[in-house]
Amino acid sequence: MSIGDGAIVTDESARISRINQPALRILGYSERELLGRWFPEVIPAEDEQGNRLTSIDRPMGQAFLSGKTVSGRAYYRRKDGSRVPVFLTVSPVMVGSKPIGAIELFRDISDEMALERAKDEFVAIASHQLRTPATAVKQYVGLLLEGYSDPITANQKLFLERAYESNERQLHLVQEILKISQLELEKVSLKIESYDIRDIVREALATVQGTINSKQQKVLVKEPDVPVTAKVDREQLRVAIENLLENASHYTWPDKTITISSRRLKDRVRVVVRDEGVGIRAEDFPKLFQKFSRVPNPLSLDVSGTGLGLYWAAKIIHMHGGYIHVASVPGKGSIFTINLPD
Amino acid sequence: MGKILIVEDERVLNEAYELVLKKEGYDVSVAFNGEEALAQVKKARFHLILLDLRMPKVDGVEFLKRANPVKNFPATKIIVFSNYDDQKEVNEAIKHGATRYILKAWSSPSELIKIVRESLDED
Repeated sequence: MSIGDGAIVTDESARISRINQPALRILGYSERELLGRWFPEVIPAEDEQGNRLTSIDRPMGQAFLSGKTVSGRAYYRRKDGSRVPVFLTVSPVMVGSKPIGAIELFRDISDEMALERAKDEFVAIASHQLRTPATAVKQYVGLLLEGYSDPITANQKLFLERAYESNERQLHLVQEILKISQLELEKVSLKIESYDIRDIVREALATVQGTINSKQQKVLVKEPDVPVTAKVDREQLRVAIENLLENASHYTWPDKTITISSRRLKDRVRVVVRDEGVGIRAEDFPKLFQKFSRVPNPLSLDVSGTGLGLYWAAKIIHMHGGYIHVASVPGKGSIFTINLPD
Repeated sequence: MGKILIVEDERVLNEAYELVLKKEGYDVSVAFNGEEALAQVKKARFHLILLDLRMPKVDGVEFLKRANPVKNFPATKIIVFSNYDDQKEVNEAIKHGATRYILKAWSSPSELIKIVRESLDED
């Protein structure tokens, strides 16, 4: 935060008692129009999709509730009705355990977001361009391997197979990057329908069964006898679960067990993937869901990954209005939990 | 054997598909953009069209809009065969008569044959 940031000071009931010039400029109000007003009412906060945040859900409400500093992104409505993206930090002012007010600092991040978008668009265009030459390599190496030209020797076949595999890896990497950039450019819309989550779990399991079998691992499926229905995008959720199962298998030693369970709780549906793998240190948790991040562990050298799987899965779950969290003990294993709204 | 039209602006890909499908015994015609494809569908009826999306002059979606396959040649199977997998653009192609979408990057010669056979109900 810097000197050009907007600053708003409120009393214990979130009424505005002080406001600086940058805040007035960002929000398009005069000081007179805001002093003494209830902050959540006069400056509505919204999420990315334009849903209005309640006075408790918005960062200031969270700061009052928790007694702690809260940071994050939100959108504010200006006086003229337009939306402005802001990054903000709210600190409650505490006397003992009681908040007597709050200080909120925020800045307009429109330019940063435009830059991010330009970057995502660039990545999307570049990736599409990269696909074409790799597709041609696939075709022509494929033609040689599939006998469309003169016969080849065993050695030539081996070399061509290696070239083919390497090219496949490149195509998959491009695919992963594109999937992410399409999500970030909001070009992916979920096709939400009511499904039995048990079916989606089985489909995901079928896709990764080969990987699991190749490591002689066992799978335990825990599910109730009755349908576990939730409103989801079947395809996207399946891939998210596949990502978790694949990770579980990759980072677990051979002969161990991977458990996947699905069940309904009071107000949500929960899918849990538990492994008996290498585990993750608590200090590495924040890195897990970041783009291109791979956490070093005793098996990570053997596993080829893009560092995009968990990032993508978490994004998809968030788009469903759900969340994903992790618990782990190094050396014992990890538990990834997906919570989906009803 | 089926008549197939390949619409692909990338010459090396167009040639590879032609080689593979001819060897399988199909009657293959080629076009390098949507404009050439429009001329082809005026001259002849195809059982199947492999259609790229991003092409110079007339692109894939524009070709579909102008050719209007739903009305003019409903029996022709049209596979969008593109590396451009923008959901909106693919949906647009499906809306205008494409029957299926395949990501070009996933298709080796043998996979191409499989896709074509499936689409022509030859399996």
